[in-house]
Amino acid sequence: MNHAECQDRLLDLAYGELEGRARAEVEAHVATCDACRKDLARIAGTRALMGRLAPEPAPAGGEHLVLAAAREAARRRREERPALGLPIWLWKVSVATALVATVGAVSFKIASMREARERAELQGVSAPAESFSRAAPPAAPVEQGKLARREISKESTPAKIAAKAAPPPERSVAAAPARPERAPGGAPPAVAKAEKAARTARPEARALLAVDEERKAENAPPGAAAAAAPAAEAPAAAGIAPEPAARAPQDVGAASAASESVEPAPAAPAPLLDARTWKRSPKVRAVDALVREVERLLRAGQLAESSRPFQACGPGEDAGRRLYADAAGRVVKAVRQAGTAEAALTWEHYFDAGGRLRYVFIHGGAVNGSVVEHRIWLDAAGNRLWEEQRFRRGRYPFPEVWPASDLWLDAPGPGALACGSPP
Amino acid sequence: MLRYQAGDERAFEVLLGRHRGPVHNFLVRFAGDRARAEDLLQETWLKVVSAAPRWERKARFTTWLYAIARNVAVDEARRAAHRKADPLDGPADPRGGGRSHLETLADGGLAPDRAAESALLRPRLEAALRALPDEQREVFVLREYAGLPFAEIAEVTGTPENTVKSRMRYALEALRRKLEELGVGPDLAGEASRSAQR
Repeated sequence: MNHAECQDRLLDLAYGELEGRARAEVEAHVATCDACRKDLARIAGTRALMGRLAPEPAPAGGEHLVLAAAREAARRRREERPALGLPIWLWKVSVATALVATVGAVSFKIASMREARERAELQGVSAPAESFSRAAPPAAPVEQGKLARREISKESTPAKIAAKAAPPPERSVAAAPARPERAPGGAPPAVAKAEKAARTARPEARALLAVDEERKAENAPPGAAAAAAPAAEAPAAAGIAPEPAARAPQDVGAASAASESVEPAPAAPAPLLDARTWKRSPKVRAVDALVREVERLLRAGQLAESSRPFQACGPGEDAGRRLYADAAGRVVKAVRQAGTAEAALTWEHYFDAGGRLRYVFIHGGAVNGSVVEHRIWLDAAGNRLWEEQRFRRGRYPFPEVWPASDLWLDAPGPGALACGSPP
Repeated sequence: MLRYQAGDERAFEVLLGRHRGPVHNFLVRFAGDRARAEDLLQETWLKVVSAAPRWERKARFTTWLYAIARNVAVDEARRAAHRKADPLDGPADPRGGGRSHLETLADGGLAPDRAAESALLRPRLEAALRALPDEQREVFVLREYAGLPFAEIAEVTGTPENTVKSRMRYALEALRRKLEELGVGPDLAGEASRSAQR
């Protein structure tokens, strides 16, 4: 090491910032260089003098204000920070999603009410106004609108429709009594239950079912439905294949939470619903009716709500859960909210009178700004009738077929509000 | 700091207890005024509280803390520059009997038998420190009293490490000359130390 290099390192040596070989080299040079030795001594002397300045003790008091500010800031952070450590903006995305869904649902509902009114005028049936249901699937109202238009079309060209219109793939609840031949062997009990369901169905549901039945009676020859159903319910080509439903094309007699559901007869594997006809499936419509009924009860204040405080029990647990039970104490709706570092989602489960999961509405957002809506319709046996995923904005790799492990397949009990409980 | 970020108030108390004294020491040395240093200390910690959510683990807490303290002190010094400064020959500490700073320094300050260290040595050392340019004083104080390595001082002050070392060399040389000028040498330091021990 030469003199210039050593001069550059004298400070480091004086302040102990040299180690190992570098330190040894500088010390070796200092030992042989008078100038460097004097410089080092001057540094050390000045440091020794300035080191005589005693440390200034911090003033007593004064820290209370800082501590109070720190506590307040910590408290605010705890309050503002959502459970599971998700950033606030992600939850804002969730809220925005809920708002978007609300606006969308209101729009759908207004449109469907208008269509229902028109249809009622045509059919001479007064359709009761139905208020908004956020979680109700938008597909059904849209389909109802289409149905009304089709009815008008049929009335004007009956011959054309008779030749062209395929019979409905599945029969509605109200259609069951008139079509006992569709379920040979199991028809009588099914018919009786369906009749009961039709009687107990809400007025609007009865109106809709009556329209459906009338259409079938006019256009479909006896036995045609049974023959056409398998063809109509061809395997879905929508990319989200429903689970194979091991059910016969038999009516489901659950038009509302108050009505009875009819268990499917174990028969040959039923054809899957396809993208073109799934919305018209009575099974799907029965689910939609169930959801509407639950929402109606909820709005009417007839469901008892119990919830877990919006805080995480621990890492990986849900952020919040709410259960809604009917007068009989049966949980008919259950909501869970959860999130990860990348997404925040809400699951809204709807259960029939038997406590079986019939519909799930999953919505939320992800860190990339995407907003998802995922819906699953299930029959009474737990088979997925249809499943669809829509992105209102962006795209995020949420599972296209939502894993059952994320869902409450059966109505949860009060234990679901305890920490550590699945799903 | 991570714990405080997560909402642990107790963690902040620990941080405050650990660093409040050293930061106050730095501010007194840097600002050269205890009353101002108290205000700066409070301002520094309030800034720490408000900036805590933005602290990232990649930065050492002490580096980040002293950067805040230094910026608070520099900002205050700039504001003070616009205010009328006490003249050097104006009244000094009331305890000095109304004598000026110059008189206090020139005649050796208070009597040695009254607290030898503060009377003989401390005012001169402080005067020497105050005489340094701000950019040299902050480097010297951060290294000598706060114990930050040169690399961290470079981060705190936002200057290259070589510049930091260069300022340190100038500061040490200026202090040595100033102390000689004020009559402070190893002998005086030793005498003050002995007086303080009596």
